[in-house]
Amino acid sequence: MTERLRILVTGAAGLVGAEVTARLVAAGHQVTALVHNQPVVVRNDGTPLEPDAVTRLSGDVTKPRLGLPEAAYQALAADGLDRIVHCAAITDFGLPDEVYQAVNVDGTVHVLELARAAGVPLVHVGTAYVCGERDGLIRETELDEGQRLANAYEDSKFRAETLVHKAQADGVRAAIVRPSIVVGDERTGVVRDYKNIYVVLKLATEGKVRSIPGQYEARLDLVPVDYVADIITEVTHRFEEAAGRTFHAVGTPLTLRDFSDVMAEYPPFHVPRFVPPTSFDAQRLPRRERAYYERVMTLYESYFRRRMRFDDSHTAGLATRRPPADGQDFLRALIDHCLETGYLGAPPADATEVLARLNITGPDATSAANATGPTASDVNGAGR
Amino acid sequence: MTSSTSTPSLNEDETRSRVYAIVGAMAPARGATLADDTALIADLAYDSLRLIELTLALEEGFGLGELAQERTATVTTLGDIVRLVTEARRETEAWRETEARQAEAGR
Repeated sequence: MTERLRILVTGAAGLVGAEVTARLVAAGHQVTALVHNQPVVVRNDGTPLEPDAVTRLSGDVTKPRLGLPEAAYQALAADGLDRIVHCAAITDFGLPDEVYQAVNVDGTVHVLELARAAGVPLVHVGTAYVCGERDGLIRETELDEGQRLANAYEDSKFRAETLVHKAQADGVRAAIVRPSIVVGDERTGVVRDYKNIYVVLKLATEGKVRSIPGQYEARLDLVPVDYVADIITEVTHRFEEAAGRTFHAVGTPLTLRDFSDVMAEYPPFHVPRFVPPTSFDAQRLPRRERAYYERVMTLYESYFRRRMRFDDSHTAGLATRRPPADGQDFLRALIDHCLETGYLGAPPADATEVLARLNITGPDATSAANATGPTASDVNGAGR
Repeated sequence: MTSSTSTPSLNEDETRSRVYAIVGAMAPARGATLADDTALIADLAYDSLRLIELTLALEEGFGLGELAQERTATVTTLGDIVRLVTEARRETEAWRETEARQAEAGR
């Protein structure tokens, strides 16, 4: 650990990338931070990294040579690096397929090209959800088990990881870290941006979505961002032990029953009802709830049916730190932080309240907002 | 396209000022100056959830049918919303006329 390594971190401004960058810098390594839209590396707690702590390179993983000028790329490839940590990825759901292909798949291709050209070990950050819709115990040694992948995100990360395996077969040295659903800090609950599961939590607790197709026995695996960054850092440091292996950076799985129980402890929160998917019909929802369901919840629906459990024996064997012991306590820490920042708990005025305040009633305002069932399908036809 | 007699039509200025009023009142950022090139996310701090609520407010406030996701997805500025609402209003009116005609023919 005393050896000073030259490390390239892609996606260094991202949630996980920034935390990894901060740890590598703190450990005394010489870090080159590849950044794209957001040039400043900001830690999860909102504090920016000192500008001269890293060498910042403005690039784009979707482009050949990572979008770097020829000279800068050659400098990295020709004995400029000891490790590459590939954190750059799109983790938002619901984006066009091309975006996942370009960033998650092509981006990995370009990173692998650099790893091959430079003869440098690669730490690839994947996702535990490359397991797709498999049930039961998911092992770190498993990738392609013929599983169905639920969305373009999972599909792209599955293909990226397959490419890493192929590159390993022809000589690139790599280790893979697979986080589950990355959320706030284990102790403080702090998270820099509210995405994915946070959005679901917000819609559910504000009562915007009251019934969700899913099973109370389904499990969601939430993992603290600081834990994920620790595991990636550890794998980077101890690459010789980690090479050729995969590490689940996962938390303590919570069933949807566990979620409901914790949500019910907070008086202002609505608690959604999980209904058997077979008896759920989105067309019967009121317009407002249907809008939220169709535009947001459908992206995550598959996660409310899965009962997988991630085995993390590789990680347990390598790292000293273990995930949160009590999943519900961790969820409370996450929710408490959301309440402190106002992300949860005090929803702004909804459409109807705002229109009333403005004294606006549309020509037949009520039909659009309150329509359900057959009326809603009439309205469906109107706008198209 | 002629407007139906049963639906009070807003002219372009009225549509614009109502869009401005709704978008401004729904915006997470307060006190921003509103213009056609005002960006919903960058200038008014809308996020994906607030944009859904805004869609509902526009549907309700203009008596429109459902605005399809494909159409709202490309909207980034106030001007885009004015155009979208103007278009959707025309479609809603045309649809109502057709309905009225069919109802008449069916009698």
